[in-house]
Amino acid sequence: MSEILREKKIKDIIDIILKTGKEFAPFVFVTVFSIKDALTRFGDNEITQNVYREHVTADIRLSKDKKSTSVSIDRFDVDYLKESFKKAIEILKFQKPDEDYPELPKSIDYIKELPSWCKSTSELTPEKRAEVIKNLAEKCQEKSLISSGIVSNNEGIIAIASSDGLYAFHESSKAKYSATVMDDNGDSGWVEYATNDVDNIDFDKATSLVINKAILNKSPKDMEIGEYTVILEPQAVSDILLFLSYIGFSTMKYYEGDSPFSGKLEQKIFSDKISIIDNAYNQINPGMPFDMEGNKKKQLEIVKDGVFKELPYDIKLSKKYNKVPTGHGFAYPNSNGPLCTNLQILPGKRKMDDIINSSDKCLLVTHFHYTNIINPNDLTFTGMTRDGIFWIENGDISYPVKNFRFTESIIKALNNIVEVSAEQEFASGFFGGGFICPALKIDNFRFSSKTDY
Amino acid sequence: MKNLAEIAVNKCKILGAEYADIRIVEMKDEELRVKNGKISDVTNAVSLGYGIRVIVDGAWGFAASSVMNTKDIEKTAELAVRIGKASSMKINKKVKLSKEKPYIDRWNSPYMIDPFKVGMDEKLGLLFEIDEILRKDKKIKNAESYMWFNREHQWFLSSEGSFIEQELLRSGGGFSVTSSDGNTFQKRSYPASFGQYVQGGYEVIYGLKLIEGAEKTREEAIELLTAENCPSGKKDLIIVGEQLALQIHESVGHATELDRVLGLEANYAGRSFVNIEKKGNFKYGSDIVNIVADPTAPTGLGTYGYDDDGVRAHRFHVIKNGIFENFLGNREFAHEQIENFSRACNRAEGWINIPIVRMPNLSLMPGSYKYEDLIKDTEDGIIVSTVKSWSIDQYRYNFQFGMEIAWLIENGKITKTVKNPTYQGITPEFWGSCDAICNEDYWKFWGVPNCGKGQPGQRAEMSHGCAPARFRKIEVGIV
Ligand SMILES: [Zn+2]
Repeated sequence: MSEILREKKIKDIIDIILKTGKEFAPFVFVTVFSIKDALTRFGDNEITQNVYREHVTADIRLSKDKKSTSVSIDRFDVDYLKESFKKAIEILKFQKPDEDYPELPKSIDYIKELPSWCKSTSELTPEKRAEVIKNLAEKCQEKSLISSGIVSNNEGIIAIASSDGLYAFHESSKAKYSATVMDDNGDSGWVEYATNDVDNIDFDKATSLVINKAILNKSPKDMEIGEYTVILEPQAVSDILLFLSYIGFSTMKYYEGDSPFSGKLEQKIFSDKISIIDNAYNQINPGMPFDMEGNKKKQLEIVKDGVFKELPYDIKLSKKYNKVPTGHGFAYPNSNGPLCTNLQILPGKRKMDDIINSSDKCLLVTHFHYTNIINPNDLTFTGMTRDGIFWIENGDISYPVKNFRFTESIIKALNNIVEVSAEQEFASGFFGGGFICPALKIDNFRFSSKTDY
Repeated sequence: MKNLAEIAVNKCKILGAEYADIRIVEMKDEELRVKNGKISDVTNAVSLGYGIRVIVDGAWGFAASSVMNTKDIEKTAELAVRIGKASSMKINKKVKLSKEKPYIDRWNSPYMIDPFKVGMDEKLGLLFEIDEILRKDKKIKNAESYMWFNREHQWFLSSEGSFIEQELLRSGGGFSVTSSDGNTFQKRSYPASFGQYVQGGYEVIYGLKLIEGAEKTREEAIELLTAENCPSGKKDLIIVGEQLALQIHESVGHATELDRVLGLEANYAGRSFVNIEKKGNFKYGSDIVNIVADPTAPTGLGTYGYDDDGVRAHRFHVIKNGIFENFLGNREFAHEQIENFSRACNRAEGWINIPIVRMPNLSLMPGSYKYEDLIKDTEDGIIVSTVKSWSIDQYRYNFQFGMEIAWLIENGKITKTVKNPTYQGITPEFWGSCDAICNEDYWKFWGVPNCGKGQPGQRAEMSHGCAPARFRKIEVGIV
């Protein structure tokens, strides 16, 4: 289907919803989500699951006199819409007008030409995905190694529209290759690439990389817990950005007093080597050019040289604190406020090889597993290292080390920065989302317990 | 529904599928939230669609769509078969399902009051009343109360002759408050960190005693602001309520899922320290530790008549007198643990997902202690309550948990409240240190409504029954 046809299909759904909705309320706001999602999963060197799903849903908000109600549905015939709306507007009777009810824009000027959707990604077939897996699995079988992971591709559409004439449409695609290779003892290597254009993934290179990493990680040595200088690879750094995005840089938490950075704008919160921006227009992983309230997404400079500079705003908080909406809002009424979803730690000047070569007595960490905030007051987080942690001595990777649990404050860690790498990667988080990160070399990073695996 | 389902399965058979099933599911959700005196969210969501699952040339295929007509169902069936054929390009062994009896049956959760028919005035009225109590003190910066109701209507039809209709109804709610003195902040929740949910209707809400719990929850959040930090070192740990449920969930439930054990989750959620050789002989916990999987237990979130393989639910021991007995399994992996029948643990979220190995209700059986006696019997201990943070490694072996609140026990008496409690351990050592469990008077189901697993990610719900239990000499606090 051509782009025009794909958009027309969504527009037709929007039109019928707006028209029907107007019979029940003077203001109608609709968000349509369309997803086509294919994923082939493998384990123990064979394909174990293989799925394709498609779904179109609409979140519809009907508003009257600063009161509103919403429904989420996936059937769009007029009778069904009417029945749903009739039931939904009952709730208006029990509401008081919300003085914070946002006045949504009537039009939007946003950047439409983002390279977010790629034909090659949309055309990745189940046969092609199976080929990639076959290639990796056969190589692993030759070497008595075990592979597992996914090859996936999906396409998504988000369109917003209101009965006041607002309309915006965004289409994106994503391909992902994630592979773990391990020996019988579970000593493993891991790679993961997520990109809007599947042609950006060099499957052969990724395949040899993950096999080599698994071999490098064979027979890890036992090491004592304690504080070490670490080099966190970009995928490990992305976990830090995840918690910063929804706790540290949450505007609502900032004002409600449950962010550790409350009241600290214009103050130094991190090492001066750390600068963090939010940029939906980056080339590595372009995000949405508008938000769910219909505002154009702005680029933000959250932290500059360690100083806390600015926060995202939605319509409600911008009105309350006399700011301008930055295009980071979610659909009304959301209880989390605006959030940054395209965070990026700006890269440094030194190459990763150079950082490793100039390091002595430190640990190189591939990525983390199951991280979680244990104390939001100082952003202490915990998690396990996974798929390769290596001891560096005299500028060389000397040997692999058994996995550790770490328990460390993100604030302390980002104040103990030694180096920021020039290379950066898009890293998708364990619980969804993803950020662009360099590798970070950090002093005094605390490992708190050991494991046998 | 049956007609459309038959069209799908027949089409798959014609196209060469050795096995096919279809799950048509209608989901209805209602969520109400009140935050700081205002309605912060009212969601009404309905979704209807189907997923077709096939085995072709010994390999799995699956396709799902929400377009419900003959033409599209046939198209989706064709796609499922094509995907199955692509899967067969790299398999080492053909999928072998355990032989199960086909069923034609209907099952539904019992309930008294249909929550979707209860008026908004009643529901919102209750939430506003709670909200008012919670915000009676200026130190409370944030109060949020909520309710959630879910009805899942499923039709399952397989090429082996099963046609099973099930209707599940889940209800629940809760609230939380955040206090702040300008420097630090603390959170308390009731009845559990993300609320308490069970199978049933609106009567569940009455049973939660939300109004009754509001004042105490508020006062505890304020008390925590000036409380001392949890000390660090080894202490006898008494775990109560939903925190013990989470401990069961993370360190027994996920650890004994057969797909993890077989390495099929190795890339994402991880594997397990429990392997096939450990079945029937591994000392998982102390002699008093009995953990039972029971999808037939009334009111559990993981209660069902049949799993999504169409296998009738049944009760079995995972751990018996401390020894590991059985994995959580399905038809596909039954032979891997040398069994010729399925453990009926295969479940999918909605219509859009394939069934995967899932915990049903999984519970720690009660012991003999009275709670008061357990405290009296503890010299240097700590009672921890309410989930705040959880993290466990890729082998379900090394874990660290944080809770909202804790109380120190000195010489058999509760002496003070402490904040930011944490504990850590190694799974079999930890369960091995369990030396006391309270009796059935204290035993209760705690609902987990949001357990994530798989790729694409999907959610499942289950309950864990438990009574307060004591674990000797556990590392607590952040060293
Ligand atoms: Zn879980």
